[in-house]
Amino acid sequence: MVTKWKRSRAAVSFLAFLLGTSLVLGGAANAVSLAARGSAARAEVVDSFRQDYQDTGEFRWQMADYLENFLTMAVGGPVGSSYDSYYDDYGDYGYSYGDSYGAWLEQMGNTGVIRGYAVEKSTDWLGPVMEDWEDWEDWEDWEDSRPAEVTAENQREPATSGGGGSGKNLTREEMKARRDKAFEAMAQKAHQYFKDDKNVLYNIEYDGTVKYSNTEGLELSGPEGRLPEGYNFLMYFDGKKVKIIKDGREVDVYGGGTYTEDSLWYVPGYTNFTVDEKTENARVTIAAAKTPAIYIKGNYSQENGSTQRNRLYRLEHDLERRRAGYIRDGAGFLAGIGLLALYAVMREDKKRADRTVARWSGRLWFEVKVLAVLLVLAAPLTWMLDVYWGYGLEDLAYLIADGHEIIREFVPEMLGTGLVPAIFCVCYLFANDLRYGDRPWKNTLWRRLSRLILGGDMDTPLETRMVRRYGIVLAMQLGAAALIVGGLAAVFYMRNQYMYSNDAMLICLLILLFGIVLLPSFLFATKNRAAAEELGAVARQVESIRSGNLKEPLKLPENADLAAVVGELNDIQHGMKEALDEQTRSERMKVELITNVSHDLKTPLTSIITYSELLKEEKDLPDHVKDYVQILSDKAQRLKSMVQDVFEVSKAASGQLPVDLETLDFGKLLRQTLADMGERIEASPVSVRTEIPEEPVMITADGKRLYRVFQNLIQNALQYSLPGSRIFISLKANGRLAQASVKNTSALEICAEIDFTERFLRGDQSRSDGGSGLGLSIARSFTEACGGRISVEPIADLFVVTVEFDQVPRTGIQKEKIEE
Amino acid sequence: MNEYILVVDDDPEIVKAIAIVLEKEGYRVLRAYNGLEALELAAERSVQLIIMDVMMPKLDGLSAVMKIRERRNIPIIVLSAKSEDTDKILGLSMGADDYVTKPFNPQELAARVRSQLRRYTSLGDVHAQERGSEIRNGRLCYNTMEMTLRADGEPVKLTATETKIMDLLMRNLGRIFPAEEIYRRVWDGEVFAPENTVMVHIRRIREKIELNPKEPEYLKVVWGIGYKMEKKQSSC
Repeated sequence: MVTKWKRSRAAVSFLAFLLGTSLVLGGAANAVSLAARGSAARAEVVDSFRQDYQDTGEFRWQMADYLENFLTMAVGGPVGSSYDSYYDDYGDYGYSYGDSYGAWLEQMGNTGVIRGYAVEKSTDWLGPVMEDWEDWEDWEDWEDSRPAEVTAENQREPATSGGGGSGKNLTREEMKARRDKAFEAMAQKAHQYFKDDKNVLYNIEYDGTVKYSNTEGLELSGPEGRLPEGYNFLMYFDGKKVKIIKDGREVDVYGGGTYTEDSLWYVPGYTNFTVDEKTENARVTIAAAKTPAIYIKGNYSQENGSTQRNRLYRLEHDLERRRAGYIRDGAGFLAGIGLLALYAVMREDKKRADRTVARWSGRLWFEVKVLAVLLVLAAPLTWMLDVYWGYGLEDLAYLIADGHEIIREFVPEMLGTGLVPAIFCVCYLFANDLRYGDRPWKNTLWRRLSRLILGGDMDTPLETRMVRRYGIVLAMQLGAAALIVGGLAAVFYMRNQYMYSNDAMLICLLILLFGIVLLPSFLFATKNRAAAEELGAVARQVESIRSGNLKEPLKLPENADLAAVVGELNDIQHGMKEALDEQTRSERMKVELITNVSHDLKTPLTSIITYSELLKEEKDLPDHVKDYVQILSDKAQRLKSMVQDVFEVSKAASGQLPVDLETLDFGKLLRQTLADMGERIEASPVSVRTEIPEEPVMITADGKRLYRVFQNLIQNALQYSLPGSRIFISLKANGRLAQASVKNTSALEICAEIDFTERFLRGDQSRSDGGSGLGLSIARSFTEACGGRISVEPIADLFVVTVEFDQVPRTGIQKEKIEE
Repeated sequence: MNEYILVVDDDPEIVKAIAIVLEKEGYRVLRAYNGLEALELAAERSVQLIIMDVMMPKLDGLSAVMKIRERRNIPIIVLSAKSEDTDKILGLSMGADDYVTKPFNPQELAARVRSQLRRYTSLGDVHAQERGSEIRNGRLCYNTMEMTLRADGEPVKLTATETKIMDLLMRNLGRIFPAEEIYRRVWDGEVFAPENTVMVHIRRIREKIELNPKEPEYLKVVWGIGYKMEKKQSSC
């Protein structure tokens, strides 16, 4: 239950971090992008939050565009010429606009800010007249710069001049008439296009007559400023200037009177933006609906079917959508901050989640992860190439050449695409994987494949790996042979198309070839397989010999590849067995010898001791004889202890010393030993300092043997210490190891090169004083028999012996032992 | 006294030495130099105790002990150069009452002989005489009412503290007492460096009750754990 809660906390904090950071980064990137794109972009954001769509720059531009079109229609000029190139280039984007905020941003990036509002694809009505129009363009060029004899046709196709194609050899007047007619048609077409959209009412007059109008009885009067119901915006061109009335109030159109790039209205009437004479006769009245609606006209009699021309409606609609987009964006940013705050509270939980995620991601092959990171990092680059040139990498040269331009334009636009959070997420997961994963770079597809192919997997037996390798080689040979034979077959077949040859013979030949190539491979495959199995058997045999099997030799058939090697291996095995038997035998003999010798020594020793005791009890002996007897008695006692020591050391050295292991308190043992030796210590010219912890230090050892160890060590120290110096006996335990050490200052100089635990070795090399010379040797033998370690470390005159045991974790064991 | 002690060893010098020691103590000694001789002499009714070497020609000591045990119930002390625990256990399980390793101290051997004889002759069958207020353990007999200790039937003089220690240990045969516990129960005071104090007293008691205080049989140190009174087999 608790773990479940913990786990979900971890998941929540991790998601909060990832999502929060993504949202905040995305929001920040959008903000930076917007800021970098300049004041126009900022104005657009402000516009989208206006209550009234008519207050926006886009609306003003639309109305100016309407006016321009209507004036052209009034005067009889080529409608749409002023902006057709724009529509051609960018008109298509009008439809996709608004699908999503990201798409909107994309469109912004592509079309520039001022043009970036919703537009109908308005060139469709121009299509039919464009063909004519091209002619007229040429015609005008011709009219301007060419002699009258040269026709448009001639100019375009000089080689076929005088071909007499219909409508091509015309006089100037005919041309002009035709052109006017075409312009007229275009204007009609434009009218057809505009008139159904009742969001924009217009009245176009020229020389006092109404040329085009879609008011259809609705009351619309420019000069009087009258508007029908539902309309609140009036634009009236009086021949020179434009008057705008919105909600009954006249709008200041011209401001300072001169047109600048910052002027709100792109309409004629400024001192530096006037109209030509012909246009002065035109009167145009435009009304815009307060709330644009959708108007659909079913032109089923024409090709187009139903049409929608709802530029203002789209404009308002898109403003709304954009506003929603900005709000969504802002809300996302705020939500991101909120999530980050949540993460900040649950930071600790996330660390766990990081590890879990790393464990998951660790299962993915490293290549996949690197590829993902590279892809996401390369995404801006490919996107940039695609956006700017649409051809991908071949324009990389231009990209590099225009570097600073790219950076200025591209970076803010890239920031606005939502790529930033994606890059963050992928990079973060990758970094997390590197940080907490268990060497993620080890888990690679390459490794897996190479392991599979090369058999690098050490767990599978040797022969399996080898057989696998042979199999792969064989398969590759098979493939290569098939390719060769197939290729030859193809060549022959193609020849057969032209020259008739014997098919059966060809097939036989190919099969023969195939067989020649592959037969040896198949023959060797079985042989190799057998060899691999033999090799595996040899490897196993070596392993089993190493782990102690000296009895069973490996048997292989006599014709096996490795028969000779196996024979030698068996010889080695046999030799090892003999050597081991010999060693065991000699070891046993040595122990038996020492045991027997020590027993044989004991019998005469018994007599010596007994009779020297009897001698001691003799009365009336002279004093010097008593001394002799005492010496005899002492030496006999020493001999007794030496015999016993030699016996025990030799037994321990051959591993035959019986030990009775139990759990005991090391510290207590040391204190008991010291107490036991109290008299000897007091009698010696040195003093003992101890540092033994009061709390139990439990180890596993044979108490009696370990007592002998320390008895010997302390005895040694007492015997060889400088008179008046101190012996330090300390015990240190860290929970895993218990270390007891005996330190004393040697009376004689210590020769550092000597291994003091060697049998029969003493510091002074002489044998004159007491002691069997076996003290340290016994200490080492017994310590090791109990599973401990002993080290002798002379530092100058300081002689340090350290006995080390593994500590037993404190349990009830020693308690039970005591209660027993 | 009409009692004889049979000493058996293939080394005449050792037999002679033991004989001297025992005769000094006032015992009469019969001598044998191999297992078969020992068997013959052991049949004598007057033989009260046998000291038997293990490794001998013709019939080894342990086999001789087994044969003697078929007929006689007298104390037998085995002498051997084999000093390991396993050898001792083997010897005792073959029917020996005590096991002394060579080389031995003549005085110790004499003490053991004395001890065995006293128990055999003056106390008779030790197990029959068990009384309510007495705790018997091998050579030792502790009277819980009187708080007195006897070894081989002879009173042991103990100080007050020593008596308290023996009281504790004799009442809990075989149980291991850490020095702290002994200190707490005997001195009834604050525990400070108990190991030395307890050890000193243990050593003194050993001098009084053990035959060989250097190799104690009763009052034993359990190294690294504590002290205990060894619980003796009923056969000895």
